[in-house]
Amino acid sequence: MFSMKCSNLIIWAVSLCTAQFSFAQFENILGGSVMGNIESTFQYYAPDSTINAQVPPSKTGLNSFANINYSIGKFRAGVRFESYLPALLGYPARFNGTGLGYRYAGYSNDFIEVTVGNFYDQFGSGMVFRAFEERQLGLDNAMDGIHLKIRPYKGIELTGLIGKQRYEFNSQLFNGPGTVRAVNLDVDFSTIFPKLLEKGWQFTVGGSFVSKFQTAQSPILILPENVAAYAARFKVVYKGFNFNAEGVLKENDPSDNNGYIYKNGYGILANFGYSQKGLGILVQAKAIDNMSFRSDRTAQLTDLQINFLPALTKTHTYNLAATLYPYATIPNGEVAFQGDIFYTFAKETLLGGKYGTKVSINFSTVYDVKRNIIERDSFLRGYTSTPFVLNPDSLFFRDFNIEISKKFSKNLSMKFIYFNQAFNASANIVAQSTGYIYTNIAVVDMTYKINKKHSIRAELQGLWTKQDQGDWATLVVEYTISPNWTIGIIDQWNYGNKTEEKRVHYLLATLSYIKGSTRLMLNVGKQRAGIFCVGGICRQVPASNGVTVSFTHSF
Amino acid sequence: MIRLSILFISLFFFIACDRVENPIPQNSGAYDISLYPGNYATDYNYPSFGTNSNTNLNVLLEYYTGHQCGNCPIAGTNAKNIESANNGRVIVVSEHAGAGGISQYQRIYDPGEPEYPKYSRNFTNEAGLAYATTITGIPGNPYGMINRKIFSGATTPWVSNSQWANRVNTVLQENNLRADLQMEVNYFPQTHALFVHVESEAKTNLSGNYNLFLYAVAKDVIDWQKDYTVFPNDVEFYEHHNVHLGNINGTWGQPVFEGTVTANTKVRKDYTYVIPEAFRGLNYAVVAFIADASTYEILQVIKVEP
Repeated sequence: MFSMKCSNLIIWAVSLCTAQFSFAQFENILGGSVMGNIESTFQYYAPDSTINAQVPPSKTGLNSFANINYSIGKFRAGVRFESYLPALLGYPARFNGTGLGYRYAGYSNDFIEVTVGNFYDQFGSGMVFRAFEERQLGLDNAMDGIHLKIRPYKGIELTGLIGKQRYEFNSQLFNGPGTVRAVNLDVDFSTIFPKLLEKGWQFTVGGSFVSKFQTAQSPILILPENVAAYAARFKVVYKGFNFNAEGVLKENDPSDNNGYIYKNGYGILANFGYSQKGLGILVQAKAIDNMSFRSDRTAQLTDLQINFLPALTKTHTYNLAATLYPYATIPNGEVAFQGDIFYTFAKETLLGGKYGTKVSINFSTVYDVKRNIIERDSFLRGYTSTPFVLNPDSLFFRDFNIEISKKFSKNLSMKFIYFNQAFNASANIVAQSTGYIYTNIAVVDMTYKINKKHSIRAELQGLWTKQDQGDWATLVVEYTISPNWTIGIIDQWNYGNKTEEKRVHYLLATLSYIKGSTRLMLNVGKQRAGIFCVGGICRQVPASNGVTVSFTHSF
Repeated sequence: MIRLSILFISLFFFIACDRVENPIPQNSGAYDISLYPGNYATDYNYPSFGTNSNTNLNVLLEYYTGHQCGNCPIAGTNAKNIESANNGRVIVVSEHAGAGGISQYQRIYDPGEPEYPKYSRNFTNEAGLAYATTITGIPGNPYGMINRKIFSGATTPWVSNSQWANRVNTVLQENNLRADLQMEVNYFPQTHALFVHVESEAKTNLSGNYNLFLYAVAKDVIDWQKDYTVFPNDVEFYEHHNVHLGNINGTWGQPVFEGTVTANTKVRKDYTYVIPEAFRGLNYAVVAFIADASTYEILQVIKVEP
């Protein structure tokens, strides 16, 4: 058993109960209202040489967040308390201590909306500007400055902002060195001209201008201190059809990411969709080149990103498909295509059966852009490229997957999923090997409702590959007693590893309790090293062994 | 309100961005970073110079010779002896030029001539020929200049071989250091390119116009040389010492101090130079000096090898 210090857990549990009690007292004060949530994750780490589990000197880690938002009339303000005591393994090491990580005050009416302090926002798809938090990734590029939104006429929205980006937390917020300035205009013609909407049309256009400023003192290069990016976008919807596209151009932005070349960057994203009852079709295309855009030219990984480059690959949830070889967007350049079809076979048909059958087919592929290297490159332009012209020998990722969901009876429903993937581990450095990794993955997911209160869910997953760590299998069993309790066990087994000692069972037991808006969860066991991704942004998670207690509550 | 909104947007466009056409700092001379065989921005070791604590004036002995000058090797040996006797304070450069620029001593044989391939390498360069014709009075080969100084009783800076040692000693003993130099040189054989970084510093208040000169030099070139001290006179494997290949920053250099300049003023310059095809695969050095633009007199000289 683990040699855990029980006092740590007791103190932590008591503090949570106290916090919950205290928050309840804040509701409806001074005539306004208080809303918020608290989330806390505590981990105790135990050594395990078989999985190379890491144990920090403190042996424990705690990430805690509490959002408290107050509003009265047109005024609003809020704070987020954060604690990293110390931060959980895998989080940026520069997150430490307890304090305010986010604070803002604002005022809004029909015409104007102003926020001072921290804020998040996104222009279009985010390729030109997106300030957001992805807590599970340890990513938070919240702006700190002023944000102004004006609605001069119905259907027209003008946004302007200036601020710095959050970079570090050491008992207080520390921003990066650069300043971001941006304006955005969105025009919704179907609001301005309601007759368009009556005829089934929606038409919106938008444009953005974003500029960053960072001082430069390089003896070797003249670095642009002000770097601009522009975006234009439109969206057309007609009945079941929709088409939207966005183009972004970024001016010369030499940085650590691009090897200090002065080439302009570009991004093009186009989505075409059609939907009707029982059928959905989505086709997407994306070309980006030299589009890493940060408020610090030396920043790395997920730090100080001004923009967000969406991945045109399906985000999977089953753990073998989601965390072993997930695709992360490569900002220096990629050409990607994706197609999705959803179809529901109606009830009482041959393939639909008594309850209907849902089928989802997805295909995505990503390549590097074709780069024409500039010889004798005196001006550091690096190379030239043409949008959507790809290098056919540079496959980054390919994913074909099909999911069939079928309800067999009132009590039994199942999902069958198959994935076929090719992953370029030299382009996305997440695996333990380089070169291409070809995988076949199959998942069977079954839910059986025993009675009104009791149900059991089981997943059986298999991943087969001749490369990297070889074959894997995962078994998940969850037993739910509604509405409060879920108990489960997860076993991930690397049974096909070429090294016999590495054929390890990663066994994890879970217990969760839900009451109202409160959720308590206990995990005990091993978690393998892997990659955790959200929307094409990934974080490496080290192997660990121990106990995890997490708590969430909304008020 | 719409006017206000337009004004709001316009303000941002004025902020715009800095479009950099040439990313190389403007203090550079002929500096072509494409000659660096790698990622210049991330990998090149761009030097910075600290305080220059030197207090010694050095001497440049420009030895005017020709590969068909049979009396020159004696002078060449003398020059090398003076250089080695002075602990690095004397720098010798062999300049293949003579009266009128190219004389009989610099003549090369072309294919088809009976003597070919003897003396077929062209040791002359544009700058050396210009000095031989512009700095008037060169009597012939071998002759030389000692910091291009016109010594007491002379009307030109040209000094005969027999007087070199005395003149050098005179300058060294005066040790009148009015300007100084620091330099770093990198050589990349893939592109045959020298990357030269020089910092010039006024050590006293200066007035007038002063130019920085940079010589690309091949340290040892083995080739034919006429030598009347040996028989036969045509020596196939003669060691030509510190051969001036050409100027990195133009025949007359580039201005470095102009008008009135106060002591401790520093000027940084960066250059690149591609070694001429006929002299590749050798060992190189760069000789840098600051000279008075009107009298040609040299204020300081240094030699740095990659």
